[in-house]
Amino acid sequence: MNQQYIYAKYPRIVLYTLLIFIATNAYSFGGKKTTIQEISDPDSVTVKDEVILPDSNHEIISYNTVRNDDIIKSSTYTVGNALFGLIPGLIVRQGSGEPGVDSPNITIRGYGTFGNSNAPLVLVDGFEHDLNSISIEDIESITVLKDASAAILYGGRAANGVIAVTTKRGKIDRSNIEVNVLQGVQTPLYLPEFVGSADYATIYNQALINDGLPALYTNEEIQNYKTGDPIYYPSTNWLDKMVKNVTPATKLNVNATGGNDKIQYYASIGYLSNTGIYNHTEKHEGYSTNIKYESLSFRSNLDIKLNDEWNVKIDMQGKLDNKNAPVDSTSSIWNALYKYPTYIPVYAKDGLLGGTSYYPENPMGLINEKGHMNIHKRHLLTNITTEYNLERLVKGLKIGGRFGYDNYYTVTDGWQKSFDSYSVLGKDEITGEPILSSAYGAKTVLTYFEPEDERQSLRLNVQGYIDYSTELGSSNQLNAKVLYHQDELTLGSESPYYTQSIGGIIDYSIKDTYFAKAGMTYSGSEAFKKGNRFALFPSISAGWILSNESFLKDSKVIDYLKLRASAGTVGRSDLGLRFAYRDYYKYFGSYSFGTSGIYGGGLIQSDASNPDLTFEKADKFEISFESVILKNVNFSATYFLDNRRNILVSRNNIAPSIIGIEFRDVNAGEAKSYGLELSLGINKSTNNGGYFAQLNYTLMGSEVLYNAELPVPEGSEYYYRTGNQIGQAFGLEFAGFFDSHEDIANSPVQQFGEVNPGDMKYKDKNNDGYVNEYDKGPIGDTGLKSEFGLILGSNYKGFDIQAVIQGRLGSSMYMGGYSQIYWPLINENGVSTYILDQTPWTESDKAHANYPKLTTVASSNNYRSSSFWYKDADFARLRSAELGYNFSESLASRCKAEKIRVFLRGTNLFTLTNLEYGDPERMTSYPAMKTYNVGVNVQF
Amino acid sequence: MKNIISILFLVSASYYFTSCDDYLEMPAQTSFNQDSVFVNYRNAETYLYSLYERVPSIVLGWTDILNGPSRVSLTDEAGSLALQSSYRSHKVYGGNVDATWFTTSLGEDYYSRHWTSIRRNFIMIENIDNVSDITTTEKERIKAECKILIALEYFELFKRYGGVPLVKESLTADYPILDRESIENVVNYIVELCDEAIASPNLPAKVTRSIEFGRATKALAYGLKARTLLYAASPLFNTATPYMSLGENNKSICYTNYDKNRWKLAMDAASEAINFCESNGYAIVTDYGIDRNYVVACCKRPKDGNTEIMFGTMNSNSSATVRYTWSFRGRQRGAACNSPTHNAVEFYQNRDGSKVNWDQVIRTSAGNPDEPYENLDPRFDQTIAYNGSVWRTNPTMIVEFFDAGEDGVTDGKEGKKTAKTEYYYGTRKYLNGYEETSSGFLPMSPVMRLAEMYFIYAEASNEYQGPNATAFDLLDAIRLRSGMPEVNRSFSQEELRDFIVNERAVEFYAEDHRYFDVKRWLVQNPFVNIYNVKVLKWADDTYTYEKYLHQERAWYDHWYLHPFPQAEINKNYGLIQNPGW
Repeated sequence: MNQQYIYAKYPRIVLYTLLIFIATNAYSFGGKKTTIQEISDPDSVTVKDEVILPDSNHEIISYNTVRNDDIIKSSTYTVGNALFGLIPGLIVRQGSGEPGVDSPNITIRGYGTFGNSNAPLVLVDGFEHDLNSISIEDIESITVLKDASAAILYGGRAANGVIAVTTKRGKIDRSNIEVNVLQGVQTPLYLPEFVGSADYATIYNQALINDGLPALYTNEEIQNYKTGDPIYYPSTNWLDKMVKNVTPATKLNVNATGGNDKIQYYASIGYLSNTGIYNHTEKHEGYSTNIKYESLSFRSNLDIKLNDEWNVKIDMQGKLDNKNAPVDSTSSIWNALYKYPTYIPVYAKDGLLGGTSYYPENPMGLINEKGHMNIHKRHLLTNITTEYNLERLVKGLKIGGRFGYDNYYTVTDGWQKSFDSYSVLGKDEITGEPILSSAYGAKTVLTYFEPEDERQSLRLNVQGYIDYSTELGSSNQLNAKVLYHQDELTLGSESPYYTQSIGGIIDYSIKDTYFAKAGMTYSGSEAFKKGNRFALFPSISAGWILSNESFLKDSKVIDYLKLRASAGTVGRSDLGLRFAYRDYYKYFGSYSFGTSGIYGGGLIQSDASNPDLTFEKADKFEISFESVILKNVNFSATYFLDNRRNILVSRNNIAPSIIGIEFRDVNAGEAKSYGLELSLGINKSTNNGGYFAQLNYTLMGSEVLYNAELPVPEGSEYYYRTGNQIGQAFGLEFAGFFDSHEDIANSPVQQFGEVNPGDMKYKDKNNDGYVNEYDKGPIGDTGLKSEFGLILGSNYKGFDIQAVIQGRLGSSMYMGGYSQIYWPLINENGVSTYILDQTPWTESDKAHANYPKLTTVASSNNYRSSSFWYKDADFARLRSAELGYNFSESLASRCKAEKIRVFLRGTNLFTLTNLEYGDPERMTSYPAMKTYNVGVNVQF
Repeated sequence: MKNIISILFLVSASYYFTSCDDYLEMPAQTSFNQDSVFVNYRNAETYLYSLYERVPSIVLGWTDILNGPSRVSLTDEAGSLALQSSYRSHKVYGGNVDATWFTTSLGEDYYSRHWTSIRRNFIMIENIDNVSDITTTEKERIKAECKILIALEYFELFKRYGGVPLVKESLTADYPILDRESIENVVNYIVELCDEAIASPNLPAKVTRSIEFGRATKALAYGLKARTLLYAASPLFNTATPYMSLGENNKSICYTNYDKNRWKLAMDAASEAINFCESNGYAIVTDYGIDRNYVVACCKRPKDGNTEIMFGTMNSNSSATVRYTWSFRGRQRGAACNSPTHNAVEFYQNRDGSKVNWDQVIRTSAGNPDEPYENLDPRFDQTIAYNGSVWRTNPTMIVEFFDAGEDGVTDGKEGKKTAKTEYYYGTRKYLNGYEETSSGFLPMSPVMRLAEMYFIYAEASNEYQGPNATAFDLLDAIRLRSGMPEVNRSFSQEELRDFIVNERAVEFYAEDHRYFDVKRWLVQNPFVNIYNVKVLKWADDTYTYEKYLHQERAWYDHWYLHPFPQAEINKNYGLIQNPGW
C-alpha cells in the first residue's frame, strides 16, 4: 500500500465536513433571520439549559456541573487537562506532555476497586465517546454523576461513575459567529539535571572502590573532564542538547450558532497544532523528526422541528489528525536522554556521531537519524435523536429514539533509516585529527515503511425512551422515564463488545420541597454466560429542600438549604476478562520435530473457565447537605460510601498446582471506599465587577476487604493486602545502614543478595531471624487520600482574572519509580544532581550517611521497595491563571464585532511541594508541560 | 414524506430491538475447545506439539533458567559472569536462598509446570480416541508417547523433590487432597508407565521418518526406566536413614532401607535397554574419527550421522540464543552465562591416561599458548575453548583468554561492562563448528544417549557385583572412540566407582547430569571450591598458567533435595516441605 492510498481517504472526509458546514450555514444565512424578540419562545430556553442527563429531576441526585466558561479558562489543548481541581471528587492526574497523547488520568472519588480499571464512563450527549475526541470550545458543560441514583439508567456500566458532556446547540437567534485564537508556547514542567563527566567519573570511581575494584578514571582524566574538550573529554548534557526549552502551539476555532423556529444550528471548525520539544530536528531536507501534532475537527449540531410534535437532532463530529514523530518510541528516546553517558561526544568528527560498542546509539542519532513516522487518525461520530410528543394522546407523554454510528480509523506509516557511530580512540599527532574506531552499527538510506497498526473501529448505538411527566393536584409533580439502550463496539479485529439495558425511573416531588426517586435498570453484557448476562441494578433517593418550607422561606440568612440521601447499586462488566465462561484451547509455544527446524505451533487448554462470571457491583450510599447563605456564600458537604463486591480475584493462589491448570478469575473480591466532599464558595458582585472563590476538598479512604490471599506464616499478618487501602504499596522497613561486618553478622539474615557495610539494613518484622518477603508491610501513602481545588476569580470593569490551584495532600512517591534520577549507576543509569546533595555511605563518612554506599553492580538488597525510597510528595500547583480584557462595546462595534476579548493564560505555572528534589507528579519519559498563551475571542 | 421517514425509523429500530440473549451471544466460534481440538488429526497434532514444548532441554537456557545461565552453572562444571548481576546463579553461590526464592525466582525449575504437562498429556490420552481421521495404530502410539512424557515429568519431579503426589488422570476436582507418596510408589509408577509404553505394539523403537525425530520412542522408555532405577538405587534414596530426617514422612525422601538388589534392577534395565537399542539400529558413534565422534554423538541429529541419540529435544530458540547462552563475550559476543571452570578442565586426562599437574605454575615455550592442553583427551577440545584454541570455522583466529587478550578481561571506556570473561575458558560443546557469529544452526538438546546406558550398566553392576568384564568393555567402547586408552582392569570396586564418577563428568559435560548425579551420590559438600586459572602473556611470547581458588560457593545439606514452593505448602492439601527448608 502506498501513501497515496492512505491520503486518498482524507479528501473525502474533508469535503464531507465542508459540505455539511456550508449547508447548515447556508440554510440559516439564506433563511429568515430571527429577531431578538422571538427568543422568548419558552422551548428554546430549556434547550439552552439542557444538560443531557437521563432524567429530568436534578434535585436529588449527586452531580456537579462545570460550564464552558470555567473549562475554557483553564484549558490548553486537550479537554482533560482543563479539569484539574474544578469539580469536587473528580481526580485528575497529570500525564505526559507529548502532543497528541497528553491526556491525564481521570477517576471519580479515587479508587473504588482493585479490579482492572477505575475509569469512569464518559458520555458525550448521551453517547459513549472518548473525552478527548471533542473540542473544548464545543462543550456546553461537563457533569459528573457520582451516586447510584444519578447513574442508575446506565446500570451495568456506571460503577466507576459517569462523566456526561453536553455540547453546544443552536438557538433561535440571528447568526452569531465566534472566533477563538490561542497562541501558546510550552516549556517542560520538570526536567532532571545530570552531572557532568568529571563528577560522573569521580562518583564512578568511588563506587568502584566501594565494590573492591580499582578505580577506572585517573586524576588526570578527571581533571581533563573538568577542563573539558568537546571531542576528547566531552561532558555532553544530552537533555540540554536535544530538548528545546520553548515550543509553540496554536489553536483556532470558529463557530456559528443561530436558527429560526424550524431549525437551529451550532457548527464549528477547529484546528490545533502542537509541536514537540526535540531539538536539531530540522536539518533534513523535506522532513523534520520533531513531534508535530495537527488536528482539524468540526462539529455540526442541528435541531430540526418537523412539526409541532416531532423534532429531530442531527449531530456530527469529525476529526482528522496527523502526528509526525521520530521512529523510535518515546520511551526509548527518553530513556537514552536520561541515561546516555555524558563522556561520549555528540559528534566524533565532521558530522560522524559519537558512540561506543556498548552505547552505539546516541540521542542525537536516535531522534534525528532514524527517520520519521506519521500516525494518522480520523473519526466521524454521528448521532441522531428524534423525539415525538404524544401530548395529544396522553398529556405529558413523549417518546424518543436515538441512534449513534461512530467510525474510528488509525494507521501509521513512515520513512526509516539507521545510522552508525564512532568512538574517539586518540589524537593523530601529525594531523591533529581524532583517530576514530570502526563504525558501530550500519548507516542505511531512508526507506518508506508500509502502513502498520491499521485499525478500524466502529460503534453502533441504539436507544429508545418514553418520558412521562404530569402534575398531580396543584403542586405535586410526577416524572417517569423508561430507557432502552444497546451498544455494539468493534475494536479492530476483536470480537465486538455488546451491552444492552432497559431501565426506568420514577420521581415524585411535593411542593418543590420533598423529593423521592426510585430507579431500576436491567443490564446485560456479552462478557458473561447466558443466564449470568443480565443483572438488576436498583436505586432510591430522597431529598428535602428546607428552605422552601414556610419556616425558612423568609429567612434573611438562609437562602437555600437541602438535605439529600441516596442508596443504590450500579455495576460494570468491562472486567478485562471476556468469554471466560467458555473453555477453550489456545495456541501457545511451539516445537520442532525432525530435521527441518520448522516449528509447529502448540495448542493447549487455556485456563479453566469460570461459568459464574458476572458484573462487579458497587453498592453506593450517600448523604449530603447543600446550602446558600447570605446570598453570596454556598457550602455543601457530602459523605459517600462505595461497597464494592464481585471484584475479580485469582483463585490460583489457593488452588493446588497438582491440578495442572490455572483458573480464570472469580468474582470474590471486596473493597470499600468512602470519603467526604466539601465545597465552599463565595460570590460577590459590585457595580464595577465582582469576585468569587470556590474551594473543593475531597477526603478519601479505602480498604480491601477480601482479595483471595494465601495464608502467611504466623506473626506476619501485616503482609496481607486485605485491610489496607486500595493501591497501598508494600515494602521493607528501612533500619539504617550496616556499619561493619560485625553489624551484619549480628543482624537478621537479609535474603535479597549479598550485603556489605554501607548496604541497607531492614527490620525483621516477624522476628524470625530472616529478612525476606514476609517482612514487607504497608509503606508510604500510595493510595489517594485528599485532593483540593481552589478557584479564584474577579472582574473589574473590562478586566477579569481567574486562577485554579489544585493539590494533593497525604501522598507519597516511590523514588524507585524514577530510578534514573534517584538510583545513580544502577542499571547503567547516569548520575543526577540529586546525589550531590546526599551523603552516600563511605567507610570514612559513615556517621553522616543518608544514602547507601554507591555501587556499580545492581544491589538487589538496596534497590527494592522499602520505606527508605518513599518520600512525602504533597503539592499544590497553580494549574491555570488567566487575565482577560473585554474591549468596550463601542470599540467592538467599530470592528463590526459584538464582543472582543483578549487574554493571557498560563497553565502549570507554579508548584509548591514538600518533595526536596524532583517533581511530585511526573519525572519519566516525555515531561508534562507548562504553557503560556495569548488569545483573542471575537463574537460577531 | 414524514410517514416514510417514520416507517424507515421503525423498520430499522425493529431490526436492532432483537431478543436480548441473541444480541449478546458471542459471534461464531473462532477458537478451539476440547471438542474441536480432538476431532481431527490436524488439531490433535498441534496439541501434540505443545506436549513436547515442555520436555526438558539443557542447551536451551536464557530467560527460562536462572535468567541466562543453565543448570550447569550451579555445578562445578561452570560458573556465570559475576558482573552480570541479573544471573540468578550468583545468589546460589552465596547460599543466601530460602524456599520462596528458590522456587519462585531462581528459575531452575517451576514446580507447577510439571503438573501442567502431566495434565496436558492425560487430556491427550483421554481424548485422542475421539479423533476420527487417524488409525487406531497412530492413536495407540500417541497414548504410549504421552505415557513416556508423563513418566519423564515424574522423573524430573522425583529427582528434585523425592516423593510427590501421584496424579493419574486429568483432575477435575477443584481442591483434591493428595499427600506426598513414598519414593517407592513414585519409582514404581514411573517404571509402570515405561513398561506400558514398552508393551505397546504401536510405539516404534526408533523413528523411521526423519521428520518425526524428537518424538518419544520405545528406546526412550527403556532408557528412562534404567535411569530411574539407577537414581532409585543411589545412596540419596537407597538408604535407611535419609540425609536429614523428615520423621514419619522419611519414606517420601528415601526408601527407609538399603537394598542391594535395587542396583541389580538398574543393571538389568540398562542391559535390556542396550540390547533393545542395539538390535534396533542404535549404535555408539564411531565413524567420524576421535576428534569428531564425540561432538556428533552429543550435538547432531540422526540425519547428520548420530546413531547414538535415543532422545533429543528441539526447541524454538534460535541458534543465536543458544550461542548467546553458551559462548563467552569478547569476539564471540556471547553472554558468558556458563563458562567452564578449571575444575571441569581437571576432569580430563591426557591421552596416555595421566593428568596434567596444575598445582605448579606452568610456563609454556614461546608462541605455544595451548601447551598445557595439547595432550588432553580429544573430547576436551570438542567441549571447551581455551587460550590458544582454534576457531572452528576460521582457523586463522586463535582464542585469546589472557589478560588484555582479545577475549580476556579488559576494561574499556564503559569499565567492567565490556569485560569479556571471568573464567579463562569458554564452552564450545554446543557451538562446535559454529563459532562464527554469522552462521546459523539447528540446536538440539541431547536428553538421552546410548552411552548413558553403558554408564548405567557399569555403575550399577560395579555396585552390585564389583568390577566386571562387561562393565570394563562398555566403558572402553566410550573411551576408545574418542582416542582414550582402555580402563585399568586392576581397579578395585572403589577405584572403579571413582573412575566412573570422573568419566561421567567428562562424557556428559553440560548434558544436565552432574547436578543430579553428585546429589544422588550424596557427595559431601560438592560444588564448593571452584578453581580458575590465571593466564598471562609475557613479552617473550611465553604464557604462564596459575591455578587459584576462584570462588567458595555455599552448600547446605538440605540442598540435596529441592524445596517445594512455600505457597504450595500453604495451600494445605497435604504437601510436606522437604527437611531443612
